[in-house]
Amino acid sequence: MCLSFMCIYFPEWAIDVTKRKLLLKDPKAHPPSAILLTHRIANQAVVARACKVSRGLGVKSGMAASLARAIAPKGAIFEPFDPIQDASALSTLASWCLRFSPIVGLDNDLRRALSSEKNDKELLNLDPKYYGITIDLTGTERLHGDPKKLSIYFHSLFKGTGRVAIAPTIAGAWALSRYHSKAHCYCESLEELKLLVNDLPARSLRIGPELESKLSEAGIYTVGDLERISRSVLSQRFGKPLLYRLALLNGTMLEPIITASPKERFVTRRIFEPPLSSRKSIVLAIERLTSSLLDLLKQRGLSALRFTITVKDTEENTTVKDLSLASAANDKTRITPVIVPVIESIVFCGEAYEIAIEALDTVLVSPSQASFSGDKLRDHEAVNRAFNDLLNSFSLRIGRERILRAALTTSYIPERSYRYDSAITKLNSSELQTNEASHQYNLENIPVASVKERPTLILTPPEPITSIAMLPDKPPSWISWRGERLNIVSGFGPERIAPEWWRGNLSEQNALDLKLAERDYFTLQDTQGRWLWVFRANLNDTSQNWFIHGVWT
Amino acid sequence: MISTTPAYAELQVATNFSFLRGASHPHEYISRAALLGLRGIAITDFNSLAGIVRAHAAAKEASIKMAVGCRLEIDFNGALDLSAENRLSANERFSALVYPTCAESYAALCALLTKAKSQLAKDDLFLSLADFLTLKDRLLAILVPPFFQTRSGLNPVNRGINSTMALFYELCKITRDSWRLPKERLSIAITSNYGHSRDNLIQATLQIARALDIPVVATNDVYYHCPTRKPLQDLLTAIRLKTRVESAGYALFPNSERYLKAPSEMARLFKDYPQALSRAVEIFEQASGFSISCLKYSYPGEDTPGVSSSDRLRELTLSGAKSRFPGGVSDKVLKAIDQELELIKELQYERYFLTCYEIVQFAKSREILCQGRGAAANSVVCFCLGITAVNPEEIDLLFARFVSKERQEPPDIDIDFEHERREEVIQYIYSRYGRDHAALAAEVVTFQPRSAVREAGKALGLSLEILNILTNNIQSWTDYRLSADTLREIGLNPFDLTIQNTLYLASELIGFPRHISQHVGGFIISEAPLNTIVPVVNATMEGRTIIEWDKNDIEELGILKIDILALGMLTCIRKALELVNARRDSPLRLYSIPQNDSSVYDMLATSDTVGVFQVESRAQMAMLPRIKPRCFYDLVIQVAIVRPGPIQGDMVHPFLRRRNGLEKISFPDKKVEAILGKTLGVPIFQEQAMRLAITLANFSPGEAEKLRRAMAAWKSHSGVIATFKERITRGMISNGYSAEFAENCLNQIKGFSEYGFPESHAASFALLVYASAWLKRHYPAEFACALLNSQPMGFYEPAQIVRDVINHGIQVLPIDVNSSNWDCVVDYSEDNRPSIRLGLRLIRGFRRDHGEKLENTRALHGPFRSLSSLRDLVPDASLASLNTLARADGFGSLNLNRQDAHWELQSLPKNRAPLDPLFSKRANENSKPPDRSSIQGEMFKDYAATGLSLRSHPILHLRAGLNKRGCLPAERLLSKHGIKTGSWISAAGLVITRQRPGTAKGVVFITLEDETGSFNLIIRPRIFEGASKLVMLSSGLIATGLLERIGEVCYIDVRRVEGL
Repeated sequence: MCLSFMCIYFPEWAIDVTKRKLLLKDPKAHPPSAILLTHRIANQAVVARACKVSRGLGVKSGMAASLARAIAPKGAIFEPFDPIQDASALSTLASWCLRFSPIVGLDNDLRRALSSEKNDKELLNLDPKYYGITIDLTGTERLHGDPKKLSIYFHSLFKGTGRVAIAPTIAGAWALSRYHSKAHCYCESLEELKLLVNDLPARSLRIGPELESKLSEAGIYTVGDLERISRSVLSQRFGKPLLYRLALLNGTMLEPIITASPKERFVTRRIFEPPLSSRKSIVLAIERLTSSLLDLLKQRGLSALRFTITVKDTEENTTVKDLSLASAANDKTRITPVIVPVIESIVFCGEAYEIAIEALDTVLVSPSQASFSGDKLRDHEAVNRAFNDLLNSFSLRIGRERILRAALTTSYIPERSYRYDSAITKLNSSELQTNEASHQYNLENIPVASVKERPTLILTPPEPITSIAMLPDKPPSWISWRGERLNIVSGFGPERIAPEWWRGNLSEQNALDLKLAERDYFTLQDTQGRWLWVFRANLNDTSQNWFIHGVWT
Repeated sequence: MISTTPAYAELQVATNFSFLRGASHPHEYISRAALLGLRGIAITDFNSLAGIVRAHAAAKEASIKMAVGCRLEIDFNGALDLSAENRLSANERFSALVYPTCAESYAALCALLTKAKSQLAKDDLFLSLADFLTLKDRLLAILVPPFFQTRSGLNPVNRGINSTMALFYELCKITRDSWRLPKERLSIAITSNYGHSRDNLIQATLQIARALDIPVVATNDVYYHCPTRKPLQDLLTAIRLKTRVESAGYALFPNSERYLKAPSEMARLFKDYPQALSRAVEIFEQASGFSISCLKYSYPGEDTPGVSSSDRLRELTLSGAKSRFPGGVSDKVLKAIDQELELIKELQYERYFLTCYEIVQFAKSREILCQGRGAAANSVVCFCLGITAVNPEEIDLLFARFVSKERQEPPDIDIDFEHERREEVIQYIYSRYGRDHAALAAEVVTFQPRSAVREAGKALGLSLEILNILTNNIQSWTDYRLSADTLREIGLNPFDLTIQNTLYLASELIGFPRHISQHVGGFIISEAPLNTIVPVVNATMEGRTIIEWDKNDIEELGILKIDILALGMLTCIRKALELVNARRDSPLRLYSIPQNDSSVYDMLATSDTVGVFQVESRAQMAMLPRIKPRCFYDLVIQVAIVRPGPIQGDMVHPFLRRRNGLEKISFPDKKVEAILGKTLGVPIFQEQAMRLAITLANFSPGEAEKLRRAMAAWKSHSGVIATFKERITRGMISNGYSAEFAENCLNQIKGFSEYGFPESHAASFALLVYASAWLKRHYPAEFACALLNSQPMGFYEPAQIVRDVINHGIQVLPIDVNSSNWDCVVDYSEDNRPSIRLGLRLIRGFRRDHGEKLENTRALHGPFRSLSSLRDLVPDASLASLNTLARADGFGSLNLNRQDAHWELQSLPKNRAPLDPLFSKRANENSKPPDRSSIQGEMFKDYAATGLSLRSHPILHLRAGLNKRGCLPAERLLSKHGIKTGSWISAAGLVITRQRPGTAKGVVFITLEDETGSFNLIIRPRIFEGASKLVMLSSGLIATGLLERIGEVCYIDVRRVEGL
C-alpha cells in the first residue's frame, strides 16, 4: 500500500484569522488596506505578523510598531497578535478536516507549542512556517478519487490562502507545501519526491537555524546538496539529528500525526416532521429540549453561562436567540424564569421544522456543602444566587447594559470618587475583574479609601445654598437650602480639595485659576442633628459661593 | 500692622533634589523666601544633602539666611517589632527633620548618611531607629507625624488616625528618652495643610507633645515654592510611583497648600499656637548657626617633612623650566613663573599643583601618555612641571583664567589619559590617598527635553507611539514648545489636551535633577575623611565611590577637583609611536615630533584627515580646504571654530571671508585690535569674550569669570544673562563704543555660550591634531594600524580606516591564523615598504585570550600546518573560536577557503577525545559539497565577520548596471577637469556617515563611498521628508542632483534619492 499525506500550510494564517474577525464584526466595512499584528516586547510594540501588502512596503516582523506605522499604507489596521487564538482557530479547522480522513492533526511543532505549559511564550517565538495541518490520506483514494485533483480541490477550498502538497511522507509534504514554487502539488512516489525536493533549501527539512547556518558555512544549501554527501560523513560532521530528518523525508522513518479531537458541544436538537405550527407546541418543544440539555449538563457536572436557541422554519428563516446569565447555572428552576420571556419574544414567521438549544461557555460546578442553618437567605451562597437571579430578570426586561453597579475610585473629587460599571459583565468575568482591580489599586504606594470617608448620599450636581461664614476657615453658622433655613450647631473643616487639573488645559495663565478653583469642604451638623456636607467654591471670591454636596442619611 | 506679624522661618522644605518629590529648584525657594520676608529657610531634602550647596549659593546672593537640614525617613518596623499585619506601610513612613548646629554635628550627619547609603538599595532608604538615635548628642531634631490623605489613614490595614498616632507617640517617647537635652533640641511638627482631618491631627499631636513635654513647632511641609507648581508635583509623584496621574489617586496631595507661605499667612493659620511659630524661629536661629561655608576643607598634607610645599613646587618648576627651555630660560618666562608661584602661594594651592605633578609623574613612569588642559593647566608652571605641552610663550594666556584672587575658587586642571589605561591612574589615586579621602564628583543628571517629554507624557497617558513622534521631532522645537502648525505637520492634533499638558509640564520639568550619577573623571581629594564633609555614595560601577555633590557645587565651595579623563587619541598616538620607534634609532616622543612640517599642512588642506584627531568629522573636513591651516595657531582656530557654538553664533562665515580677503578687517580701536587681532576681529575663544568685557565694559577679572560661567549655561538661566547683557552694553557705550557694536559682540558671545572653547583647550587639542596628522603623513601604515588597535574611538569604522590606508598605497593583508596577532601589526618588506596585517581583534566575537594563546603557540612551535595540528597544539582553542576564525576566512595560509575551513572543522571531534588515527582517512573527500561561493557572497560574509572586506569594493560589482543608469564614479566627480560645478549628475555609493545635526535646521549630511573615492550629499528637508525612511535606513544610495565643489571636496545637492 502506498502511503500518502497531505500538508496544508497557511502562510498568512494570523492575518487571515484577523481579517475574518474584522469581517464578522462589521460585514459591510471595506477590507483594510493592510493588516499588521503587534505585540509588546520589553515595553515596546513590535510587529509580529505583517500582511503581504505591508511586507512589500518594507515592514518586517520584529520591527518597531511606530516605524511600521510610518511605512504601512494609509488605512492599515493594527491589531494585537494573539497566537493562542490563532492556533485554536487552526485546530478548529483541523477538526473540520476530519471529514476527509480520520487522521488529521496540527503541525507537530505547533501542537507541541500549544500544549506546553508556557504556550503563550512558545507560540510567540514559533516560526509561522509551522502553522499548518497534516492529513493522512492513505487509503482514502476510493473516497476522494484522484489525489491529484484533491490537492487542487483543497487549494481552491481555502480560496488561495493555503498551500497544499501531497506526498508519500509527511516530511516531504511539509517541505513541498512550505517551499515548493507551486501553491499546490502532488507527488506520487518517493522517486518523484526526491526530484521535487532536490532544489529546496536545507531548512525545508525542519532543522534549526543553528544547524542551517553550519550547513551553509560548509557550502550546503539545498536538500540535493545533502543527498550527494555520504550519510556517514554527514552524521560525523553534523550529528544524528540531521540524519533523522533525512530519514523522515525518505520514508525510512515515520512520524506520528496526533489527531485533533473535536471540541465537545452540548446541543439538543430535534427535527419535527411534520413541522410545528402552533406557538404552544413550539414553546413546549423548547422547554423539553431545554430540560434534556440541562440533564446532559448535570450528568457531566457542568453549568453554562450562555445558551442559544435556534429555530429554523419552513420559510428558510433562522431565528437565533442569545441568552446570557449573570452566573453559570444548570438548574431548571433558575433557567426557566429567564428562558420563558426569551421564547415569548421569538417571532415565528412560519412552521418550525428544527429547534436546537446549545449550552455555551460551560464551566465545572464546584461542589459545595449545603447549609445547615436552613435559613436560605443567611447563606452567603444563596444570597448571591438570589441576587444573580434578580439581575438576570432585570437584564431580560430592561437590557443588561442598563444594569449598573457603583464602584469606588481613588479621587478626592466627590463626583469622581465612584463610577458605574456594568453589573453583569462584572459578575460574568469576575476573575478577570479582580485581576484588573488589583492592577489598578494595589500599586504598593497608593492607598485606597474606605466608604466612610464621604456622605452616604452625594447630590449630583451640588445644589447652591445661601450661607455666610464669618471667618475664612470657619464653618458657617447657618445655611439656607431648598428654602429652609438650617442653623448649624457644630462643624469641621475645611478640607481643601483641588480640581483635577489633567482634565483641563494647563498654561501659565490658568495656573493661578486652578488654585482659586479649589473647594473648601465643611462637615456641618444642624440643630436637628442632621449631618451635611457643604463647600465654598472659588476661594478668592468675596461673594461666597456655597453649595451643598451631600448628606449622611 | 506689619510689626504685629510674628516672624517665621520655614523648616520643612523638599527641593527637587528630593528626586521626584520636590517640585521647585533650591534657588526658587530662596528667592521666594526673600520676597516673602521670611526670617530664613531650611532645606530638608529626603535622606540627602545634595541640594544644599545650590541653596547656599542662592542664599548668599539673595542675602537671606539659610539652614542646612535633612529629612530622615525612619524604619520604625524593626524597632517596634510590629506583627506582620500591623507593619507600617511604605507610605506611613515616620520621618524626622535634623539640623546640624556646628561642623562636628554636620560631620556626624554626613557620616550617618554615608553609612546608611552604603547599606541600602538605592531607592528605598530607611534609616534604622538605632542609627537615627546615634545623632542624639549633636543635632536638633523635629519629629514629623505622618500625613493623612483620608480618615482611614494610608495603610492597607486601615489603622486609622488614632492608632497611627499611638505609634507616633512611641517614636517620640523613644527619641525623647535617649536624646540629649530633649526640651531644647527636640520638637514635634504641627502642620496645617487643609487636609482631611486637620483639626484632629493637630489636636492629637498637641496631646502627644504635652504628654511627653516636648515643644511643638509650626512647619508647612513644603514641596514647591508657589501653588502653581501643584500639577508638576502631582506629575513627579506619578513618575515616582510608575503610574499615571489619573490613577495615582490618593498618592497625590489633595490640594495645592504645600507652597512656601508668607509669615502673615502662617500667623493666621497658627494664631491659636503662637508658641509653635516662635519655636520655628528659635530652631532656625540655632540651626543657621552652621553654614556650609564653615566647612574647613583642606587639601592633603605634604609627605616630605621639613620641605615646605611651596619650596618644593618652586624647585620642581625651575628644574622643569631648564629642561623645557634648553636654550635658556628667558626673563619673561622667569618673571611669569615668579608671578604665578607667588599667587599660588598666596592662595595655598601648592599642594594641588604637586598632586597633579605626582599623577602625571605616575603616568609617565607607567608610560601612559597624558596631557593636561583647562584654564590653570595652561600656565608656565604647568608647562614646566610637564603637566601640559602648550608653550605659554606661543599662546598668550589670560591670567585671570588661571586662578583669580577675587573669587575664592579653585584652579581647574583636566588631564587626559589613554582611554585604555585610565583605570590604572584612578586606582593609583585611590591607593595613594586612601578610599576615605578620595572620591569622584557626582554628575546630577537632569531632565533633558527628550526625557522630560517622555516621562511627562507617559505619566499623563500618552501612548508610546505618540511620544516617539514627539521626541523624534524635538529638533524642530523652539524654546521647548511646539507650535500648532508643527504639531499638525507631524500628524498630531494640536488641540489635544494631553499633548498640550505634556508639553507644558515637560517645559517646566526640563532642568530638574533626575538622579545622581558618576562624573566622568573629577576627583576630589581631601585631608579630612570625605564623609565628614559630604555624604559619599557607591557608584553603579564596582569599586567607585562618589560624593553627593555635583562638580559645580564643589567649585562653589572651593573644593579642589582634578579631572582624570580618557582620550582615545592618546592611546592611538602611543601605539603609533611604539610602532614607529621600533624601527628608529632615536625614539620619537609625542612632544619631539618635528614642528611646522609644511607637508602636514598640505595634507590637512586637502581634507585627507581620516583618523586625525578632531578634524576628521564631516564638518571639520568641509572647513579644512576653506581655512587652509598653515601654522599651529591656524589649527587652534580650526579646532575652536568648527563647533556648534560658533556655527550658531554665525562666526564661521565672517572669519572665512576675512581670512580669504573678501572682507576688510577693521577694529574700532587699538584696544579691540589687541584682543581680536589674531582671530581677525571675530571672537572665537572664551578668553576673548572675557577680555572684551574687562577692557571695554569695565568688568573686573572676577566678574568676567562669572560672565564665562553664566555663558556656559546661557539657556538655563536667562535672568542672570539679562543683567550681564545690560551691564556689557552700558559699559561699552560709556566707553564710547556704538550700541550696534555692543549688540554684535553680545550675539557672538552668546553664540558659543554652550559649546565655546577656551583657547587653552583648543591649543592642547591642536597639539594632538598636529601630532596625529604628522603621524598620518609620515607613517600612514603605523598610524592606521594604531587606529585599528585602539578601536572603538573616533569617527570612523575599521572599514573606512582600512580603505583610506589602501588608498594611500599601503597594502593591507587579511586575517590569517598563521600571521595575525591579536592586534594589527605592521610588516615590512625587504625594501622597507610597510604593509598592515589585520589582527584577530577585528573578528566579531573572537575572544582575546584565545587569540593570545594562538599567538604564543605559534611563536613556540612555528606555523600551523593543518587544522588538526592547530587543534593539537592549542587544546584550549575551542571549536567555537575556530569556527569564528573560519567565518572571518582566516585559514588562507592552510589553503582553506571559508567553506573548506568550515567543512574541515566539522570533521574535528566535538569533544577532545584522543584522536583516532584512522579517523581522518575515513572522511570521504569526494562527498565534499561543491564550491558555489560568489564574490558578492564572500564579501557579505567578510562584512558580517569583521566589518570590512579586503576584496574589491561592493559598488564595483554593480558598476555595469550603474553605468547604464548614468551614475558617475566618485573620481569623475572629484577630478577638477571633469564635470562643471552646477551640473546635473547622478552617483551611487555605500553610506559611510550620516548626520543630522541640530544646528543644520533639518538638513541631512551623508558621505557616500564607491570604489573610486567618496563624496558628500546634502539632503534638504524638503527632499528628506519624501524619502526619510530611505535616507535614514538604507546602506547604499543613488543620488541625483546638482554638483558642487569646494576645494577637494565635492557635494551633491540632492534633488532625488533612491535606494541601491
